[in-house]
Amino acid sequence: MREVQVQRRIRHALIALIVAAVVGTPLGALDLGGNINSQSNLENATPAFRNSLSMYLRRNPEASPDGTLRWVVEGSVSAITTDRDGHGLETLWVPDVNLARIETIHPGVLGAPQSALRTAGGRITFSEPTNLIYADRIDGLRVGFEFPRVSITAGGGYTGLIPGANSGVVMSADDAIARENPGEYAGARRVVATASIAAPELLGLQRVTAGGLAQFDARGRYISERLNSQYAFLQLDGPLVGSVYSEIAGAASFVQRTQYADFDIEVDSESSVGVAGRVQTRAYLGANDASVVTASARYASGDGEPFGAFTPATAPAVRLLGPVRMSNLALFKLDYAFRPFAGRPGSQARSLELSAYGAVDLPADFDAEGGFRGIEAGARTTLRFLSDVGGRIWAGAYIPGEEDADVQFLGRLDLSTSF
Amino acid sequence: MKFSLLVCLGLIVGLPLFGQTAERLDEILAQDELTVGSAAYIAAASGGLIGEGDGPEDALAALADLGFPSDSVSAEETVRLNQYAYMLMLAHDRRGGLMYTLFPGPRYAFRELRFERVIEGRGDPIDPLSGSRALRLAERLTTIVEAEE
Repeated sequence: MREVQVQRRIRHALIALIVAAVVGTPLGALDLGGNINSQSNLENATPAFRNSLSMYLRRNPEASPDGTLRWVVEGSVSAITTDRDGHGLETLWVPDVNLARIETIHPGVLGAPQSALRTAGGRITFSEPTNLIYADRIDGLRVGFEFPRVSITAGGGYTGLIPGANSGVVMSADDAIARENPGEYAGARRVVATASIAAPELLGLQRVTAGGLAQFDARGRYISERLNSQYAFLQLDGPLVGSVYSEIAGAASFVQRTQYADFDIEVDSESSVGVAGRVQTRAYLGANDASVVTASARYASGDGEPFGAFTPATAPAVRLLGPVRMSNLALFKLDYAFRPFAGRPGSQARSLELSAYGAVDLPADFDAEGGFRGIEAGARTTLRFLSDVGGRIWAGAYIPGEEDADVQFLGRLDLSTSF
Repeated sequence: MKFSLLVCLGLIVGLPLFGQTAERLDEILAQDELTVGSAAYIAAASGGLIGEGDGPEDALAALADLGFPSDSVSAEETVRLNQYAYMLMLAHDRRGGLMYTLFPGPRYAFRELRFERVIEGRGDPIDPLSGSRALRLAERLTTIVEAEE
């Protein structure tokens, strides 16, 4: 009951925010537009489609030394057509409020020269800097205190009003079941809070960011499992040498799981500590064809000794064949992209980008027998035919390490236009 | 050398300009918030729509002939980035994307010049712009147009 009240209050706050923003804005500063996106997938022999129409209304601010206020409200309807249970294609219609965000920037208000106070509230995009733990939308607030040599960011919110079909928050089997259930509109109900401090050019040209994140299971009673977790993270990123840039990030998760029988009686409780890391080096090689080579490695501990499973809140999309969950994982990836006509100003072909990638998928304990999971290879072609019409073709294959397992193929065509 | 190129290059690389043109361009460069008339002058000059003896009124009239809604603005008011983008698109007879082709105007002209990387960095469609920025944008578009020819 209390949970329903909280959800209602958050929903009312979002609506009030939208109404106040629209009413308080002069008509000439409003901008109304939208996007149409179409994605067609062919996974092995099974087709799947995702078509969406989104519309936005936003305030174009006039830049001012005293401060800037901007807001955007964006809603969408998605038609997700898949063969969920083997009985043929079915379409699920998912309405969503993609964003409902108010942002303010106040230069100099913190007293120091070149300082700024930044705030954002409503339904906002939200992530911690490493992208190892959480990167999704949230209904909440974010505040940034920016100084020339240091910046502090803090924020938090609730995930339970975002539709499950569009939410990346999947932390437990219950979350996954709810997400796949067409009768369940809302996604995982969790409260997330984070704070971080960043110092640019602290180690050479590298920026150092450190912080923490806490996640609380916000479901009420009558659940089979409750999962709360806390995280600490550290990241270094910036230019390494010449046009080579690097990112090194590490995180530790502290997870508490409580199992319930008959949805109310606590039967088991356990805590675990997991670790995860990510290293990425990106080299910008050519001026004429805009060649970019990216090499990356990800690691996340699984259940075992000395660490338990690293348990992130969201799963980053690092491969084509499904997003990779950062748990019990060692993934090595090489990606090469180039734009053969990048040097031709004004040419439509200038935006043509060709890329290929390969990834090796291993469990965290990859020395163990049978540790090799598989290899994935793929290629992408991206082109904006016109300034407001673009498309991308992806094709990939995943070759499993198990001898009896079939090779998985995926082809994807994305088309988009904006108006 | 074409007058359009003379205007752009003169201001970007410092070619010597004389007489009324030099005075007008000095005046434009001094403007922190460009007026509609001055913006029309740069756009029309960079697109070769006006000659050396012409002024902002002639430029605005030339753009109005191409479809710029000059009746709804005055030459003295501050120009917006999207209005200037539309002036440049008209002056250079740019084709534009799907939406610009269907509904030509400041909104889609702004998006088009962002896509072309003529407008770079932060900037909202209704931002004012300085004279020097307006000249840089005109110079970038002139470079693209010449590369296509």
